[in-house]
Amino acid sequence: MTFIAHAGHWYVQLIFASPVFVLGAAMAVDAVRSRRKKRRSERGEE
Amino acid sequence: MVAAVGAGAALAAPAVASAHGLVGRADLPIPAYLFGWAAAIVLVVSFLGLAALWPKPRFQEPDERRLFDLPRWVDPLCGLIGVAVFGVVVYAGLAGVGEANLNLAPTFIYVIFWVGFPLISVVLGDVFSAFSPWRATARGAAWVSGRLGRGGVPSTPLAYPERLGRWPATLLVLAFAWLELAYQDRADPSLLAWLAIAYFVVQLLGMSLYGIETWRQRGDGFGVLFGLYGRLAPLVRRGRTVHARPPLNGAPALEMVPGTLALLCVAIGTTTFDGLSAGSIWNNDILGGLRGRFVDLGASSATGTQWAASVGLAVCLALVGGFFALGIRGMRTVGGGHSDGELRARFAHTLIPIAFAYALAHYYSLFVFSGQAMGYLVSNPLGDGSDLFGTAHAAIDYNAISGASIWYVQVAALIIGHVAGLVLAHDRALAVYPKAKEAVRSQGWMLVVMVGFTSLGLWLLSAVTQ
Repeated sequence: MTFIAHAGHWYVQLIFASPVFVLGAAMAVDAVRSRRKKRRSERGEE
Repeated sequence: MVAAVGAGAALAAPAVASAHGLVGRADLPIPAYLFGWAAAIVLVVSFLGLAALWPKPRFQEPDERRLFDLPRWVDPLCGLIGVAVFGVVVYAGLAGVGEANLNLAPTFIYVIFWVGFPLISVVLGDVFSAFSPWRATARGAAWVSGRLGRGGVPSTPLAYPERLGRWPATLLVLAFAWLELAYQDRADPSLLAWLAIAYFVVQLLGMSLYGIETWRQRGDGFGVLFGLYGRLAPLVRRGRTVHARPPLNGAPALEMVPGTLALLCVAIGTTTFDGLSAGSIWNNDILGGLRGRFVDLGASSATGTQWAASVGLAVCLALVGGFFALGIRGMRTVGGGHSDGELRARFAHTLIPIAFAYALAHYYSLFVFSGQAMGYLVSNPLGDGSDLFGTAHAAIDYNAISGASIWYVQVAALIIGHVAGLVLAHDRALAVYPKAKEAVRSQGWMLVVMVGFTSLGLWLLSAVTQ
């Protein structure tokens, strides 16, 4: 609980992780898009 | 800077062998997080460069060139040196003074042995196997037994249970890390000496039961870990012949047996916790609450700290393993029908350079500063006032390297280590995925993992002085 109560001390340090968030989000979007594309092509073939 | 040097003086003592990233960062030209962003950019550029310029696997087959043969006396000599040094360290631990920074044993074990051998291994290959005191003793016993013809050492040892894989080594490394990072009497010289003896006995038992080389490659925690680092080296030994090879070339040939990935996660996770436990977040926001829980359960404050550190260590291990698993799960979305287990096994070796980069970045300052203590400890190993080589009054020069220089070395180590991880992952992906495009897409996930570990490493190192 202390950890959460002291969030003001550490949340700004998430700035270190921002490249990970950006890249992770980009990869997740890419994965979703490719999955949709695959479904569409499968429907098209049907 | 004075404060940083003062911290260095305190931290260099193995009694508090944590917070190794001690430096004065106030003189850095830009905020530390920008180094993290710059490192991420370097990794992204490396990823793009690999995608464009590395179209075929190059490291999946050994590429070795014979250099020279070692004389027959090298192994016995190195073994004798290893046994002699082991004897001196144990004797110092048992017979010397109890102060950690005055006794040879803690500094030798935590600095020269634990930090020095990985550094040497990455340059010269697996040299520890030659100096390993337990291996040398076992080989000596086997040689004597063979000469006497009495069968003192079984000529046909038991078959090693394959399901155990490298788990014995993993558990021993984890136990050592717990001792170093969590146990309250971690720098007690006599305790370290007794534990060294216990380790020695366990190794001899394992080698006598399962064969010297089999146990060395599966159950000798230090031997296995240093051997993994040695796979990054441009030199490798086959029998008595030394071969040259491209750096990293030995890593893809890593035999994936149970416990291997866990060992790499232990190597990274324990270093992660070492950094975390030296930072303000752990000490100001986490430790007190966790320790309080254990104190409420009846533990003393010191014991509560120990168990809080144990919890922190376990969480760091889980985080590292979980993050790698997330990257693997992401790779599965690319297709190809590969299972998580298969991808984990095929890409686990990419963690070797990361484990080394973490160790180098994190322990570099410890090695530079505490390593100098060997100057006076070799002359006065027991701390009893002796002066065997006339260097007993040597001192540690805390100005040997500036805080900013240490930081730059740490940043460089982390970036190079993670780029090396990317190279290994890209090369393996080209072998795993039939289409180069799929291989590159799969490595986008590995890029996230590498950037994550780089950011984590830099944050941990920067947080030490915050």
